[in-house]
Amino acid sequence: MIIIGIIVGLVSGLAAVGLNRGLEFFSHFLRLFNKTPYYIFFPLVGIVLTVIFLKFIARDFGGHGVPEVIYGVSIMGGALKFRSSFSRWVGGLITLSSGASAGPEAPIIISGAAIGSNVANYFKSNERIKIAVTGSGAAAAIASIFNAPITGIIFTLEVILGEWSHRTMLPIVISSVTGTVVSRLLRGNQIPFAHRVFEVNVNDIFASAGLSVAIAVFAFVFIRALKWSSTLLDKYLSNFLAKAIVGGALVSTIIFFFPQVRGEGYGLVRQLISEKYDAGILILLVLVGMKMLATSLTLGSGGAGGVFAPSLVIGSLAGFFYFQILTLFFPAAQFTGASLFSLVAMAGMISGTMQAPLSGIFLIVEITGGYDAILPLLLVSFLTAMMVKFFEKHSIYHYELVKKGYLLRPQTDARILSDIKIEELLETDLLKVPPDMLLKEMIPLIKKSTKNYFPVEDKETGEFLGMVYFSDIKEYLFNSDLVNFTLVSMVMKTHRDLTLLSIDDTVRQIMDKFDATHFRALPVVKERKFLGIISKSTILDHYRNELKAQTEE
Amino acid sequence: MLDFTFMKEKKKLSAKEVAVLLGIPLVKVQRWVHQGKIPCKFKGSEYFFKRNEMINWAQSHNFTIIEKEQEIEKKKIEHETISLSSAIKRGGMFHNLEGDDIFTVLQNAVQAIDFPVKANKDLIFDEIIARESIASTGIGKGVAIPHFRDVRKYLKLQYPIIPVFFLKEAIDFNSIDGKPVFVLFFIFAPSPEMHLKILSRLSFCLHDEEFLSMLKQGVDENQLLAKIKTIESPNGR
Repeated sequence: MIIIGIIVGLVSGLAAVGLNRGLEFFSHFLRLFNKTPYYIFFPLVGIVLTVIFLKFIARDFGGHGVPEVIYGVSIMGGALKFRSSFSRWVGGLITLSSGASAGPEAPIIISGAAIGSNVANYFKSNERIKIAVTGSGAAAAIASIFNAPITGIIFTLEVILGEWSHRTMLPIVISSVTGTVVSRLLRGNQIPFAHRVFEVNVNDIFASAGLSVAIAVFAFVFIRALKWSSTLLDKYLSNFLAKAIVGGALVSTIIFFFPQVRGEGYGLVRQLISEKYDAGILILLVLVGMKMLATSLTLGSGGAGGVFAPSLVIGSLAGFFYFQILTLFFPAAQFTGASLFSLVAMAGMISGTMQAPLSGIFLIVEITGGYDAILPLLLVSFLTAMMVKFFEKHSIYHYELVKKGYLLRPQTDARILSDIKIEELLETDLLKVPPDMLLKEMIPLIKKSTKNYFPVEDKETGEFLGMVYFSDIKEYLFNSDLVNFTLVSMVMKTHRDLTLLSIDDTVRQIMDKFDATHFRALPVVKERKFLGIISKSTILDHYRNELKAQTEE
Repeated sequence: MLDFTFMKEKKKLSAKEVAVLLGIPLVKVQRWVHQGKIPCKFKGSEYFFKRNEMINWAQSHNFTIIEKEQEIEKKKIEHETISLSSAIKRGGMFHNLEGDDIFTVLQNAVQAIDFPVKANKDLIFDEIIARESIASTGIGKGVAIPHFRDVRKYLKLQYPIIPVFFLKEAIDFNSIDGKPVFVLFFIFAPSPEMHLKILSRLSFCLHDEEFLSMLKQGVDENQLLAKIKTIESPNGR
């Protein structure tokens, strides 16, 4: 496990540094064309190229990729395609170096996670280990980008895995540390920040409360923007290329007018947190909006990248903005400075957008190298997360998955039930009866059958007509008058009385159908033909079997 | 959307009522109260539940209440309305039905029935004949019980009706005991379950020798109904 952790950490770390170096190189290179009119179109070209590359060469999708990791972990037992380890990496390189607005973290996270997954495969690890190793890839990614090993671990546990188990910690920790080491050696750290001492005072604490409200609003708007841009684009443009072109064109336009929102934006963040930025309140607000828009469009039209960096950028802008407002309204009060608010706001954005308050806190702590800002950080992080959760039940990562019904944490009931397939539950050893049979004639069949249910089929067409439930006819069987002239058709329950199950139903749907009726067993019918029954009580047996088969360590 | 005829008037529910509402045992409700899983109001050492709160809680926790509600209602109605005598009274008693064979006899009977709801007699007759051809409804002792399954399709009945026809001349009905049939008890019930219950009551009555001879003599309606009532009531149904 240790070895796996090291391997994953190494590769992830290298991927992180590699991507950042690559980005530096290309941006530098492309900046040479600064003066040409073509420069405006670079983001558009970048997005289009990314989309084409992903669709035809890598045969993968755009978007940020973190939901895919979560999906891989929660449903597929940690399986991720090997392709994903480089597809998004290259895609991210193209998208970001062209200047489109997105973050480099998600491509690295998914690369790292995919590498982890395939390494675990190579070592033939069981499901639990595989999930842990996939997670450790993600941890190493974050750790190396930000030189923040704790954040890497916390992010993986908080967002990717959703569970904290001391068994899964080992590879994650090793990987995170390794990634950080790689990054430090190769100096891949993105937000180097002179470790400054903050002297947080009481005013700042109060101001932080207000900040959380502001950030909660911004986070909410950002989430909405991200959701809407992809649904809007999908609604009007079904062709992926058209989406890329239109989206790319819009992004290019925005960047042309607001070059500050270009690319990942770490440069801007550095300026803001070292207070080397000069801008009026209005401009800051506009930039926040533009960054949100540019990012939403970049990702919505198919570009490859994440929301992590843009959240940080928006956060730092918002924090700065808030600080300006604060000094405007309270000119006499003493506040520690714009830098503090920018940093704390960054944590707030991460908390709000990704529902990852701890990650946000630790990121800032590790960036600033100290716990000075811990009080406002704690306050803002958790308050923002809480406030946003009130309006948006799911984080931006979970939203996509929830939409498709994919968000199932390992080991949970829902996950276990979703594993079970209908064919496993179907019971077919039933004796069938025709509708015109007398109850008297049914008695020997009842004696012979091992089940208490008898499907009724039309003698000629074999069509399913209904079910006879032994419990229903029990009282009549002992009435010699009735058995002689009561037909099966009289005692059967037809499709009007029953809820029919479909072979395409999920176990969850079946349980819901059972809940809504009082039947203990229901028939599965396909194209009017009877396939079998599913009995409520056997579902428990199957569930127990699944539990027994769970991998443990 | 939800119609709670049951407990509709009550704003406060007892634990027992909540147990019925949710379809779970009383002790489970008590345990959930103890564990704080279910919202309730305490009054000293007693507790009760606010109806609206319970409904919201049940809905947000995916409990289906409505089906159980409807079933309780249904059972109540069924219990109240499975009275043979009332059904016969509703259906009417007819004497001297003409006809030499099963087909004619049934046809004339259906024509004569006075249904309390809108009825397409032709379709109903088709169903009656169809059922008769699968297996004879002559249950023996000279009695036949023509019927068919999907009464709901043709008659929107709330309560069962049993039109009774005494034939002018007994005819061969392919009965189970070979004896010719002299009386028809048509059974139209709103549900198959009710039909079967009626049927078992009727066959129970037919075991009574006195009842049978009353039928053979062709005694008048009131006396017959009175006799049925006495047969039915000692069983406390």
